[in-house]
Amino acid sequence: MTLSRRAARALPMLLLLAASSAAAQQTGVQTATPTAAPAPEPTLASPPRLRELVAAEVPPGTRFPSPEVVVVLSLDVSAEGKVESAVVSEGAGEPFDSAALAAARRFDFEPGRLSTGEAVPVTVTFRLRIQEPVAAPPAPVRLTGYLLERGSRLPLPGIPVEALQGEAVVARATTDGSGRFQVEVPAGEFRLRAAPPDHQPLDLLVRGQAGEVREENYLLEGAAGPNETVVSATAIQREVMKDVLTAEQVFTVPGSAGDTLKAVLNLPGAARAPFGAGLLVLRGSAPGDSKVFLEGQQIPQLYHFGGIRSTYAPAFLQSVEFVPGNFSVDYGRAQGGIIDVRIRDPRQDGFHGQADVNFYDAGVEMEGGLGRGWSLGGAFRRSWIDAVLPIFLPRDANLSFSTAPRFYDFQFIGTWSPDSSQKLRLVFYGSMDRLVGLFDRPQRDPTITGALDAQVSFYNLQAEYGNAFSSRFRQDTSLVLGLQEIRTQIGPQYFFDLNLRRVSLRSTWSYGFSPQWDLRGGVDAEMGRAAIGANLPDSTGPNPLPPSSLPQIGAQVTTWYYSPALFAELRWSPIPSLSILPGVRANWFSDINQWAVDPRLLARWEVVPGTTLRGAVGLYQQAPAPQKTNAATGNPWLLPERSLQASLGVGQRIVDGVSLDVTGFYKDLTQQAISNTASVYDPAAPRYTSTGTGNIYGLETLLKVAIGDSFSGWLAYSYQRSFRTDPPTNQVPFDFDQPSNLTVLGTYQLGRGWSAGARFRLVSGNPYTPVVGSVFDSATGVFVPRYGDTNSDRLATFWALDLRVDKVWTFPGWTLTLYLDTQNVTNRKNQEGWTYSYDYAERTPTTGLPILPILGLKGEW
Amino acid sequence: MTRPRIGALAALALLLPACMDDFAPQSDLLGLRTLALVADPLELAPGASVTIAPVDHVPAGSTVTARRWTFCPVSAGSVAAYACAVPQCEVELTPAADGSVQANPTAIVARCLGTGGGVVPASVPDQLATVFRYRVTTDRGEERDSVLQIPQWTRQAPPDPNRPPVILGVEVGGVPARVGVPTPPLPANGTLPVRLRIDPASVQTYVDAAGVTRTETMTGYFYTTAGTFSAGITTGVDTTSDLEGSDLLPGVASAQVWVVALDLRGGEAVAGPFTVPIAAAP
Repeated sequence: MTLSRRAARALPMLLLLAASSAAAQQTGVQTATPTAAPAPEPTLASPPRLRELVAAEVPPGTRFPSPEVVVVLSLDVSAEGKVESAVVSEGAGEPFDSAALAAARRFDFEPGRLSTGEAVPVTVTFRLRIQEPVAAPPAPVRLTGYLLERGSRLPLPGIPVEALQGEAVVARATTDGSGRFQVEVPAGEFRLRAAPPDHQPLDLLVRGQAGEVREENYLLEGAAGPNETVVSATAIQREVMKDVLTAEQVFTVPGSAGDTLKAVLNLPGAARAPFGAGLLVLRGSAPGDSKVFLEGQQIPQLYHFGGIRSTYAPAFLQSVEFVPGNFSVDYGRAQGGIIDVRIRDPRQDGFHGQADVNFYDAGVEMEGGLGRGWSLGGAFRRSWIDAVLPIFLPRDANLSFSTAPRFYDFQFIGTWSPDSSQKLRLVFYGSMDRLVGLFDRPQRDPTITGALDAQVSFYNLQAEYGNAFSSRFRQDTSLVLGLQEIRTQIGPQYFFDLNLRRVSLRSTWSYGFSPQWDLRGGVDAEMGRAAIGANLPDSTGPNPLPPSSLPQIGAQVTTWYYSPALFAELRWSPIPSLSILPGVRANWFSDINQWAVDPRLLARWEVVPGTTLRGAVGLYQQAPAPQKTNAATGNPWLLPERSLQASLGVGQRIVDGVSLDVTGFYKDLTQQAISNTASVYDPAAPRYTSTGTGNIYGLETLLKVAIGDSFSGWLAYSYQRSFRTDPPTNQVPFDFDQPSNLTVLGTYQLGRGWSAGARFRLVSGNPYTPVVGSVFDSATGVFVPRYGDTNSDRLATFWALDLRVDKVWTFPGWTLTLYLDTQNVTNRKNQEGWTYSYDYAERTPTTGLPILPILGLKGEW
Repeated sequence: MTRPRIGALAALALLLPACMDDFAPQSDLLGLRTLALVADPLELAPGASVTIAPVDHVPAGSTVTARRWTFCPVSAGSVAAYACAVPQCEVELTPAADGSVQANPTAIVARCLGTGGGVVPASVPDQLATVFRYRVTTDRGEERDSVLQIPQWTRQAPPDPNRPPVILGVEVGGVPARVGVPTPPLPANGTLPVRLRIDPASVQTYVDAAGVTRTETMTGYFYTTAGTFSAGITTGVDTTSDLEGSDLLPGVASAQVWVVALDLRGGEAVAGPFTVPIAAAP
């Protein structure tokens, strides 16, 4: 390469020898003249021709008297073209003469030839010009780099990389499969830039020495990193309002302590559950009306004891989908809303893991690829509550624990993905809660004494297989074998035992006829065998009563149930911006021997880019709770509980990073199973009837803000009213009627791995039924409250401020996160209810969570 | 399937904070209180009469101004604070001078249920939970409202009628207590054991409404006008609760102590009041 450049600069000037010159480092101009040769016949036909010029090399730093120095040499060129001797005929002084001679001796000539063609020795005069060398351009910097994801060290392939000097791009490259790139940049200072999607951009100032060869690794943070809070929606949306939180967002939502479900309950439509209750109240529906799924299959138990932690740990969590109402026909047996937990596959690249230790619990997770498309992962978590609780329990407390409350949960996932069109996944997950305690003596009620033993567990084995037969046709099927066990004993009298074995099948098939039409359909079947043993206080009313004042209801039942469902949904897009999705779901409930057919319709129209209108209406039906339909404890002739739901919403992108969603909804509840007070004194009267009604309406607002990579958060406000009309009463507010529910949260990236977030909540207090007096039940010695009008009073407004600070240290190959999630930093004593004196003559507010700092440490590698 | 579990655990959650409130315990007699309604018999055969005697604690300086009794053939249960399920059938009863009341509910029930002809309609169950309500009022405006449910058999006499618990004795400070005789003193800032012994022979087995055979849970309630019992409620046939001499009001020379035994099915027995002198603080 350098030869040709030099050749281009060399301008050989031959007087006698028109040699094609190969240039020297310093340019030289040579001339040769034949001299004093005897001229026998035949004559010299051609003089020697220079074939290879060797540059004269003068020592570095040689001062040139002029830009060009000429040394005249006399060269004897042999018949073979070699220089046999060289002498200076006209010198220029040292070191030029010596340099010229040394170079000349290495010249290679085409020998001179006679007219007969015979090669003959010839003496030539050669004028070698030695030019002062021009300062050579500095050698470039040769930079080989690797773009890798920070922490995981995953390569980032196919990423364009630019090197810039000033504003000019001086080199470009693209990373290969290993994240490698190579650029050659003029020595000096330059910027290296790359912007891999979903990662922090690379923008680095590099100073390179001439000729330097460098190899560097560039570790880039994931952009949706552990400190970002963004609400986003999936591309194909079959619900009027559906929000999705990623696993990273779940982990970092302030005040939620990284819990799987609690994070999404900051979205509009979710009521604030009282502390310790662990209830899911969506759009004013009763807690049992909404369901939580894992990849479309119901999770049997949502929370561990106390409602602090979800039973499904965030390990292998990909996202949590939140649909407070008007969900698609895929889901049923719920007249409220749904939450679907989406899980990710274990990673295929090497072995990775994480460990998290915090105030609540400690967990560890490992995952890795096994080759041939297989990957495997497992996670385990155990609570610390049994270690912490004794510290806070007063010494004179009436309750002592031999096994303090504790929980375990686990998830094992194996995935086989031989190609991009099909995937088989096995998920085995479960949970176990246990406590054993002793009420040393009765406190308020003589029947609550002695042993307290509670064990709640479930195990689900879930197999999923998805196959894309073509770009238009695919199926997804999952099968669950589940076991749920509950053993509860309170005192010598009360117990509840459940052994539930469940099989659940879901299979969804979709086919796209054209860009305008596609059809989805499938089956969602569930069956099981439940063995129930119970002896419990039999309360038909909604308000708490002393257990000893209630009759006891006992049952020893083994029953089978099955609930198959078929569903189908059509998508019609007459124009690209409009989608209309009519669907229908038919569900059989063996508990009540009833079919329920639920037609549903959704329309979505992007009026202009950035503005979307959405509307939906549909019927949602579910079987009443099992204890209400069981012949021994309830009424098997009940009707399906029914909710007619309608929603209308608009989504508006205001500017980049700022969007607003507003959704109004109305729900009409009918056929609700309610207690029949007549059954208290009339054994012939059914214990439950399907005569309950209600209506719920509201407006939900979600303002999402993401300012670059530095700030993200949202403001969620719900106005909603929820009423029930249970004959013979008039319309009354529902237990969780929360007219105003405001949540504002955000996380700010402070840089250098620091981030800070805050959550503020302001929520209307729940309605409650006031106690207006009491009566002494002399048979049991307890006072029985006399309640006033149902839900005619309301608890104080709830507000709380939570703060979270994270610090992430990134090391080659792993990251360490220290976090402090402090709930209720102002230690406000929010009222969750009332505590009454023994005769209900006095009361004091029951307050919820005090200030609770959760310090945690999480390592990922 | 999860709702019963939630209910049980929610009840537990409610009970826990109840252990930690600062209210005066039920065993502290700080005002007017009805301690028991002692009935005889405890279950009524058709045509049988019943006598119910209230046991009240009336604080010193107060006078009872009114005692009122009502009877209702059908109770709406604790969910309605034992309101009368058929209000038009609720009748007023006239108490005796000592406050007790005697009644033969059969006629009232028959009148209410329209069974005056002596034929009980098939829709009427074999047993009704009748409710006797007792209200006592003092001249200081204090009022207590108490109820006692008494099963009324409609077609036959109870095959195995409930009988009240029998108190074998109460010991205070290790000495059998007798009404009107001071017991060993309660040391200031000390404790004095109060022992309740119930005749085990009075513990019955029975078949509950769910058809399950159960054994009665004998329960003792301890009450005092001064000091505090370590356990206001005990279970078992031989139980002890310590009377603690802490937080005594100055000038209080003695405590009145009652012990009530319940079988939690309506059987009640009362012992007391016992006079417990309070030793002067050293």
